[in-house]
Amino acid sequence: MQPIRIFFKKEGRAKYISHLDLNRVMQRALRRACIPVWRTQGFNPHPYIAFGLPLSLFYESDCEVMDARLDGDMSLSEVKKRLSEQMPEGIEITAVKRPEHKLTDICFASYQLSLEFDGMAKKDLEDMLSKVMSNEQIIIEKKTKHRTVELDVKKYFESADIVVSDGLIRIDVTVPAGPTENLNPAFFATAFEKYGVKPDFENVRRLRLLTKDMNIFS
Amino acid sequence: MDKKVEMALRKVQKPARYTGGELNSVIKDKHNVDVRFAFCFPDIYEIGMSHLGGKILYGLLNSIDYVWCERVFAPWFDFEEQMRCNGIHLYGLESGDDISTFDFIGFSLMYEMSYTNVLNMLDLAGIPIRSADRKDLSPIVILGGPCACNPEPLAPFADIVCLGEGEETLCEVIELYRKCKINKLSKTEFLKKAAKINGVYVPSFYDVDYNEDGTVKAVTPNVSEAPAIVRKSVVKDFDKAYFPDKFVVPYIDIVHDRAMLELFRGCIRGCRFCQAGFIYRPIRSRKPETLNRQASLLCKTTGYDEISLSSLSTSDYRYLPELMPELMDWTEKEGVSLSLPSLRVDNFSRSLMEKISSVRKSSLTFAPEAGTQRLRDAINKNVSEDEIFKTCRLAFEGGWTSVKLYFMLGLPTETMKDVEGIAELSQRIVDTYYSMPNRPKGKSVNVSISVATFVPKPFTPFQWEAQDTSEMIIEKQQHLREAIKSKKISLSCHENHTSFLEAVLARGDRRLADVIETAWRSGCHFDSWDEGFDYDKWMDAFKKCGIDPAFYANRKRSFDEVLPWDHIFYGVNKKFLQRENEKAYRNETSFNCREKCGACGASILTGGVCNAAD
Repeated sequence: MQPIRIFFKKEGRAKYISHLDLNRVMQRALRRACIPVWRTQGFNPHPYIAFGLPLSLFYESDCEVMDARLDGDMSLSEVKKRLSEQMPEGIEITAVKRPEHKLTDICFASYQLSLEFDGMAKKDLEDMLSKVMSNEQIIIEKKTKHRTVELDVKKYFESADIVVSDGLIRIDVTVPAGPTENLNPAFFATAFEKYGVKPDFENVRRLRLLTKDMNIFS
Repeated sequence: MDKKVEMALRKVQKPARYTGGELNSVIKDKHNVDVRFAFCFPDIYEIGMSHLGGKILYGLLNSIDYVWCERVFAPWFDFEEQMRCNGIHLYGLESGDDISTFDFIGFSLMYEMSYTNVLNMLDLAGIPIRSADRKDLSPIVILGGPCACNPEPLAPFADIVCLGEGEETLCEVIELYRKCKINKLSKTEFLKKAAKINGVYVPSFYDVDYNEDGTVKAVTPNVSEAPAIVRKSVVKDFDKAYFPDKFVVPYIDIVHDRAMLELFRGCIRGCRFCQAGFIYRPIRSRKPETLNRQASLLCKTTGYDEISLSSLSTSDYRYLPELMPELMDWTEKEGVSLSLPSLRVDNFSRSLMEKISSVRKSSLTFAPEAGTQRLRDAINKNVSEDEIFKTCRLAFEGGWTSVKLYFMLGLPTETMKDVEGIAELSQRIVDTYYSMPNRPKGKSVNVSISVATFVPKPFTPFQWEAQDTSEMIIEKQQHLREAIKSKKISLSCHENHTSFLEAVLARGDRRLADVIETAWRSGCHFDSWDEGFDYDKWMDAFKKCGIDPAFYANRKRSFDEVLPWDHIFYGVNKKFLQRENEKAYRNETSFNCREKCGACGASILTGGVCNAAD
């Protein structure tokens, strides 16, 4: 049995496929592609697959990860070819490899956020941004399973690469991700709403997954 | 995707209902097609996408080069609000284009309680709801589906009603339309030509006169092109009839998310309350090798791991013993499970049970429909007590511990004794379980009974019958509740107001159109949902229109009354239905079609073809 790791993009209409639904989409795709994947041996056998970091609904991604196990002979390039043919609109297989890291090695994720502010010129947005940044702390509320915690996110505003143009703030940022600590970059929009102006629309794209040493997860 | 839509999608539950892009959905270049068809299902995505008829027509229409058929479902309340606030028109899921620019807007009418959704969807598309207000050739609003057998309550809203099986009629109508569009004919000119096609009913070409007592006097054509009696259309060679080789595979979880086969159309049983048992006649079946081929193809193109063998009564399929091993030959290897809905208790065999349970053990559901043998005879549900117990014993031996039973209250000739019979029958099933030494060890039995209210339907032997009033039904439900003594029996009763309204709409005439419109304008839609149903608003609508709903639901008709659907012919002749009705009052059963032909007359539609005996 050979563990394999499948990398794919998720964009366009596919951003409306929830994490739960993605599981079903992939199960069926593996079946149609006739890829000999190992099946769970329980009461209701199904192909074993595991996903890396779940992606929020409405987010796009260049770097989604799915693990499976090959139970039979098939080259990785053949797996990629067959699976690619079976992907719905908006999902594109970018690579099929032998896994290098463990799924739990994911520690950080980089995102690009495009926040749209209708009718606001570049100058207005720059002023708004510096007003937000002038606060000693930028506190947002983060809901966990059991409680709500307050979190100062100012350090992410400082570390982010922020580009302002007419009606648009573009943010490139790396935040903690993975099983131990995970932060959804949606807090930028929340912070703008609280300390400045609420964005009218937001697009988020996950660019890469990183390990503890800031290496690309692969 | 349109930015307005994208923003709206952020604010609603299950946005994937409204995005399209699923595997096997058909994308064409709109500049290369002549006819665009919006196939609308007047309920939510999860229900509409589970409907086999829709899949057949979607595949069939898209197999025609010059036609592009797209899917449209009723938006749930949250998305509707977004649409109305942000000026989003109802759009086709494939192209995202506003359907008001399409050539056809088709609706599938599966149940009466979806009628207000038809109006709401037209309105959301920005299309006038009444046919008379739509002057141009396009869009043509076309209705079909089982409820189209009495389309009168929706008559003023429809341009065309397709009677019977759409596979036949639709293609002809579309071809005719294409010619008329090229030759720039008017809507009326097109409709007059269309009225000559078998299975096409153009309601505006008929005038209805009423008697003083409110009953229908006559329905007469007002143009020479319209036939006095409109016949439904049927597929003559069912084995060779079109069946899709792929289904659109949804992202979100839908009600029936699996591959489906259609074993046969029609039913040999003739249960007197069952509309499906009469309107789909004559019986036509598919060869096992055809079905096996279709199953394997569907699994390949969809990746589904479950196949449902559907029909009105699956264990009546003559070739089931041949089909099952053929299917299991490959499904077991590939981890595909089979599900057999609609089994009957009288021919449910041990080998069949073993075949289902070898794959996956689902719950076991039977429909005795009535509690006593006397009443089961009267409704011609030819199931005996012995068969019910035999089946339950088999099931318990096979490891099942829960049985679900369906019954109806308010059936013609029913007495309180029959109501008590439901409780007694259920109790005896519980007792049977505990009397078996080889019952599943350490497990308790659970008999759940689900009780619906009988709704008399057109084209059945009970089409003349009065529905019990709500008060009578509530009394019977209460009586039943008191008659149940065991905690192993759980009872659930259907909401009555819904059944009452269903009874009104099912046998309604054209005067109900105003009521439907009034109810919709006062906010009624999604009437089959708790979230949408508002009985008081409906009753207000009846009052405003000066119409008494009891006239339609609770009135017994005489055999010589002109029924609102008498100008529509579904193959089964009225005299046959009357004979069956009279037999019901004598507690007499009829043979099933395989045992002996009852001369219902339906094979006139297929030139004599009926596979009942086959």
